[in-house]
Amino acid sequence: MGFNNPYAWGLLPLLGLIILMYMLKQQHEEMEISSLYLWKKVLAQSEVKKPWQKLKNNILMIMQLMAAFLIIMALSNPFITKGKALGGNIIIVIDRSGSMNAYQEGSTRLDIAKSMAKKAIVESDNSSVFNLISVDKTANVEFSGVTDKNEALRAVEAIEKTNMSGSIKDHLSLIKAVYRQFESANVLIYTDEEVAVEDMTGEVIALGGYGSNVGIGHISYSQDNDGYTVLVRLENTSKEHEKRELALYGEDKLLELKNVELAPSESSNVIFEGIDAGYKYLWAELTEDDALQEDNRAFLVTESTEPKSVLLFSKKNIFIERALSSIKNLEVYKTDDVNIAADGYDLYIFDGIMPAKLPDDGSLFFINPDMINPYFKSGAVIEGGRADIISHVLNRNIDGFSFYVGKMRNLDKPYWADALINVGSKTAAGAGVYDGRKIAYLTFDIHDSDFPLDASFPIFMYNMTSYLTDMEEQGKSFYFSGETIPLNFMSNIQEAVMEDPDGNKESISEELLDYGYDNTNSTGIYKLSYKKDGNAGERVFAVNFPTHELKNAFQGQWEGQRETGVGRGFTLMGMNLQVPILIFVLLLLAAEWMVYIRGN
Amino acid sequence: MGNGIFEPEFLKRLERLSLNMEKLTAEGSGGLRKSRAKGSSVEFSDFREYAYGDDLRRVDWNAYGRFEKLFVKLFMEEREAMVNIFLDCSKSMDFGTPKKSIMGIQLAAAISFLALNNMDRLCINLLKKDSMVSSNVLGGRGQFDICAAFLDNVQFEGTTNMDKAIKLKRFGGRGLTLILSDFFTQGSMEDLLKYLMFYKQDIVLVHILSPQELNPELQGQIRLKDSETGEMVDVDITSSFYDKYQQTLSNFKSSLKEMAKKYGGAYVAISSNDSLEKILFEDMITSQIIK
Repeated sequence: MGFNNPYAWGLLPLLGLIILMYMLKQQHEEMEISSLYLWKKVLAQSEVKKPWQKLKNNILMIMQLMAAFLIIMALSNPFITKGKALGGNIIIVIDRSGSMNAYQEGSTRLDIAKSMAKKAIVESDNSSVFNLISVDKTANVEFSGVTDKNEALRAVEAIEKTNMSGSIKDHLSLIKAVYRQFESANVLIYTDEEVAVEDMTGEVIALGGYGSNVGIGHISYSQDNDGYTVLVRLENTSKEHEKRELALYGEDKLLELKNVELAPSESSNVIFEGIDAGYKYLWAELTEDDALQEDNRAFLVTESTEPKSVLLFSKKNIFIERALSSIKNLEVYKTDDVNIAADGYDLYIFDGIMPAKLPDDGSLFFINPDMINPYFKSGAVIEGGRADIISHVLNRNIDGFSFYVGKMRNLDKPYWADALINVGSKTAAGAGVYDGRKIAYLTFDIHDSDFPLDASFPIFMYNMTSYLTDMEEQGKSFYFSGETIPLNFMSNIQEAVMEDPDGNKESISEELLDYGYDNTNSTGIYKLSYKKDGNAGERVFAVNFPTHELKNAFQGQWEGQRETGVGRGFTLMGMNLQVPILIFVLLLLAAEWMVYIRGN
Repeated sequence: MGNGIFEPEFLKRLERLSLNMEKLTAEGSGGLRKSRAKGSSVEFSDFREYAYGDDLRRVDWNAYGRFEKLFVKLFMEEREAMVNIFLDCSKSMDFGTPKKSIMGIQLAAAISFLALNNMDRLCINLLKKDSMVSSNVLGGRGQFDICAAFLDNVQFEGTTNMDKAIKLKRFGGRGLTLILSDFFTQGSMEDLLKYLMFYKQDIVLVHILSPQELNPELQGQIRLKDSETGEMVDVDITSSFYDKYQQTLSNFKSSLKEMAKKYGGAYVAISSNDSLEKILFEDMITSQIIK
């Protein structure tokens, strides 16, 4: 027998208080009577007949003392264990990936895992040292080397559910690393995944099982003249026929409802056609509750369709044309007429030639500029060399690439521009903002280099174009929980605030945009509000429950694995005595009440 | 206590009563009481065979002539009786509502009246601690005033050891002994009754209890203080304890009754709450103390 909360015994002196109260209560009301003659006879008779009657006056006190003692005992949370108690170093691993949100007999697997882990902590030996690891897409060491059971219990309780995809198998190396810290340790892994403790001593407590569940495995759309066509793939993970109602929403508006019937383990595509375009995001929902709620909704963000326009001044440059034409949502216009007064374009590219008058609007991109231009001083043609694409936000995905330039113009990098490509000590490409306009330049003719033959060229052109036209990167139509939403394409924005589906807002500083936003545990629509060039803007992102978790959640009943090790046998058959004691206390108090009533 | 204590009507009723004595004293001067002892009286009672030592003058010669046997004529001898009233004057008697002491005095007075009215000799004894204060031996109706005066101003205090105190009494001969008490007394009642029997006393125990003793209205944790000794006892009066008290009280009364019966006496239990009329004209007549 052991006690989880031995401190409760510190309350024992309270028993003395009960005795003291009785002693104070024993102050009898004094009353003068003619003679004690008869009363003494009554007392003598009582005492003679029933020796225990002497105690009768105090039987209530004794019962109350017993009740108080038992309450203190209950507070000390005693337990008895059959077999050897779990002790020593205990590593508790709790899987909290999305599939652990599945319901089993009214509780989620995670709740069951937590309560089992708490039971193990409560019933373990008092000398135990606890280590807790929670696993989602990463493995988190919640605490290590804790001896206080209450602290361990609180930490287990504090483990929250996630919707992330995750596998214990991916993190076994970390669990093993923690395991090897100790000379000997026991690992308890609570998961719904089929996994083995391998060479560790411990136990896998299997929480998986079948359940009645249909989830949305995928959602996508296409756009044509009739509007959107939306495809929703449903996965029936149960062993029975399932009927469901599938609703499609455009933002907050219900667009269409469909009834679906699925055979056991069937995947089925449901198509919604002729959906009006114009919604920022669409989402599908299975209206019926089932074993796993989180996979009953899936969201997707539609692309913004506003195209950008580019006017290319060029004699002929197939490389540039090709590079530009591959960029989605970009309308490319080409001219070699230097006399036109062009305006209304988002970007003007001057490839070796320049109009008589530079346009007043839009961004400018000079390629091999001649000497006459108001933005930089272009020098004579000099020998080129190895051109290195340097690390810069505008060189996304191509920094470190290099190519060769035959000849280039000797151009001093203006103060407003950042260097993007260097040839030796000279700047071969740069970009920046001058007088409120975005301007970029390339100091060599593309034909004088092998740049177009390099894989970095179209990306460079894409990066330049998207920078100069403020073209927003669309990103994916949805992400999975736990994935990072990349935000590095959003340059020059301020006051960025991300609002998650639960309405929590988090501001993201400009410096952190490059790292993206990874607090994507909740599924639903995330809204990023920001300011760019003084104007307010908003982008939405969709986060869905990982398909992998949905498919793996109901793999079947797995018995788990027990590796008891030589002579350890720590699997507990413990019984907590707290509740039985409290029930006994209640009975005792009821008996005391009876004695009190009968006594009067 | 004056003579006015009893109302004329009540006195008239009392006058019709007398104390019932089975045994009468063999000695003493003539009274109005019919003695069981046969003697030289005018009232014929019985015959019996002559025995050696009998007065030859009492032989009925007519009977001898008829039966040829000597028969002696027996006559009822009227004798006066000696009545002793012992009143327990302990502190415990001074309790109850109404007080037992008042009932004791009234009863003593009433019985005194009966005795004097029947031309018996009367002695009132107040029992105090181990001793007693006795009145003069009174006789004749005229002395009721003296009796009443004696009973006036009686102080009830301390304890009484009835056994010791009554044994101080020197009984002249047969007589009636009435003890008025709550019998919450020290000493052995058995010894006392034996002693009284030895002195050929008709014993009457008048057991006076207050309503508070008969049905104590006490409950809960109480510290009872003995009025006589100051001794204290803590009791937790529960319903079962109360039942035991009633049982003990009943046993106490029946043991006194049994004892009285054993020694040829009578026992009557009364409550200080009872009316004097009820006690005299019902209880005492029923128990044949008065006729």
